[in-house]
Amino acid sequence: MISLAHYLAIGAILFALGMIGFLSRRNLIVLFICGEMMLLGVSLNFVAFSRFHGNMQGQIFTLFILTIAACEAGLALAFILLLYRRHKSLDISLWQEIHETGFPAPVDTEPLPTGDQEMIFPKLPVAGIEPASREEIIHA
Amino acid sequence: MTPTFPTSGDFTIAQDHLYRSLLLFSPELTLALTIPILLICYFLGGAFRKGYLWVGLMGTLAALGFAVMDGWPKLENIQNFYQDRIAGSNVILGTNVLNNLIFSDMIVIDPLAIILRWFILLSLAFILLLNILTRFPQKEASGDYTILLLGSTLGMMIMASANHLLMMFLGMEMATVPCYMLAAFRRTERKAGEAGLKYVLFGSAVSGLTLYGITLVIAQFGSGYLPDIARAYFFWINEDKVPMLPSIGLFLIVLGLFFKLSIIPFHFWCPDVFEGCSAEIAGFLSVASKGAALGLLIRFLFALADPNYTYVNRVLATTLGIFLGTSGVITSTFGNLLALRQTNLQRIFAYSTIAHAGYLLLPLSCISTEGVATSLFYLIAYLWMNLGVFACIAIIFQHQKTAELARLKGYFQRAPFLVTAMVISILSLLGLPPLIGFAGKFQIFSVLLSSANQSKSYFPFMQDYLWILIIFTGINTLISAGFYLKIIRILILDESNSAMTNTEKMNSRSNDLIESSCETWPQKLYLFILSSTVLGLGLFWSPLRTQMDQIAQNIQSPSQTLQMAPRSK
Repeated sequence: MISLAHYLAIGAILFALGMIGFLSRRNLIVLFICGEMMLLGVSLNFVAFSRFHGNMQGQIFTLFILTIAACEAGLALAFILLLYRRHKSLDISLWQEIHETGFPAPVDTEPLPTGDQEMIFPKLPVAGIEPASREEIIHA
Repeated sequence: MTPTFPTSGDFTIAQDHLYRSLLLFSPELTLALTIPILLICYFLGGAFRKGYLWVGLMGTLAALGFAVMDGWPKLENIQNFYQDRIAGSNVILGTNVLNNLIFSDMIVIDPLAIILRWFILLSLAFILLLNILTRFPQKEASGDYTILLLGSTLGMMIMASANHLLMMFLGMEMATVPCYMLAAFRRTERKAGEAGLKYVLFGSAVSGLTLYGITLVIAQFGSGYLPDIARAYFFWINEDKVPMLPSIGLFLIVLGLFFKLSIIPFHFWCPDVFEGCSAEIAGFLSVASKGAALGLLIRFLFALADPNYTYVNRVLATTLGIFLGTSGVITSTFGNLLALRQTNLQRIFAYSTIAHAGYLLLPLSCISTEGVATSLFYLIAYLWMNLGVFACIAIIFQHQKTAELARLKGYFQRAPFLVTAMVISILSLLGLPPLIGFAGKFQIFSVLLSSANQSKSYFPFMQDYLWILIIFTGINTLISAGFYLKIIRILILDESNSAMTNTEKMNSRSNDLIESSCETWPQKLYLFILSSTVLGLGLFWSPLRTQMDQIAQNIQSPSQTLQMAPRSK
């Protein structure tokens, strides 16, 4: 039997995971996903309480939360795009133009792991004519 | 109870209720209507595209007109504010006998909401006028800018009159989300995008925290209706139990409000955003947004420990008071200390804003109607002086393209009128006698002092605590003199940097051109209005104070709803 406490535990876990991720992550997009996770944990709580108390207040809250989360995500993505064009990186520690005067900006010693530099693409099976090789395209 | 189908009489009552609600909601509706009008102007093109800010200003003034038309007679006759009740009970919408609860009790238009509406609309009108004078957003962008500004104001007005946690949350989000964009509006400046991003980051995290708080409150009480919460909480406390879950929840909600008020653990967004955004938006954030958040905080305070209600639990009230007072005093001390080191004008006044948020909280700490009245008075004083400062920074930025203090040495010689107006506002923020800032600070001290004397009878330690608050506020005023007077010295007494004037000549702008364009006469008139209000209200502040006292005594409180028949669920 799934009781109220189960829902609340999952809601609290989601919220806490989101909070921890929000405080510890450096990748901007992961940061915002963590923010959304917090809101989803809250939504779960609201729905569970709505069922528990037998009224609609929690569910209506959830509708509004989803709308507002969408607004915030859209805005945040716009900002991320704007800043990505400038620095070509999603590392949050690069945005330090505004900081306290007289104090040096805190520098992270390790750079954000960017993954493998050489991307490995899946190989497609050969069909029909062999495509022109790279050198031929450059010479043409 | 089996639900019965509503009769035609019920529909008539619902219709009356809706009609009355829309009528009382007309200022907000006017603002909302201005937004599509601006969009239509955008589609029409041609001459219509030139005057977005003017259209926005017209809409704001119309909304202000409606708000004053509705509110003025009520404030004139404030003793009978709650006498005018609707006869008969309301079947569908609960027993809504109070005339000022609208939209099924989701929104309350009480004296506090009326005065905050005026306050928010007035600050919006002044900000739009300042934008017209400094020609800040370019012509094409000013449409978006005005729409965002109006939308944010709409949210703040809903915050000021919210009576339900849902409306509170919606109002807070409606007020903040457009501000994220407005903070990043200065496209030429590299810092603007960063300011916007930081604001969104912190804002979304804090709104998550607030929401978690709301879930915890609803968890226990099953309702987000503020009087219901107040009543339930009151009964728990009266049986000497502290409901753990909603207490944590209410604490988290208040933290969300502290974020908007930039109280110390949640102040970090404020200097960064203020440095990156334009001075006009900084003024808007520091005045209108503070007003709305303070209004909501006062409403919470009245819900938990109503000063007008005689049976209020003293322990609860004192705990709340110590919490608010300590946050206030820490905020103002750290704000003033951190401001001492700054070199950018906008950053200095960001810290000054933080310090003043602390001053706004201090009188609330002696849970009494006098305290609330003092806080409201200081808020209104703060509107005039802070707008004066930010208007001066905006005009300086328009000409100098910088707000760095080092580049503004001896600015008095180039723009004497502007610097005079700025000095008046700064001295008022510091709290010198003939200005309104002194009236506000004086009242903060006096209300803390009288409350310290009164509290002697029930909690002896409260007296010592309030004395500590008084001493710290005095020290704070001295610390703040450090940076306020430094600004005045740099602007007036320092010799203007000769190397600086050379680079300005190199920028192919002849010196006399700068002289002539430093301040135009509409700008002078604007600054004159602000400074003369600072001076005039500073000389004749007792009528305003009396009005604030009456408003604080007549804030809608759960004790009035307790006397009502129980609400039908």
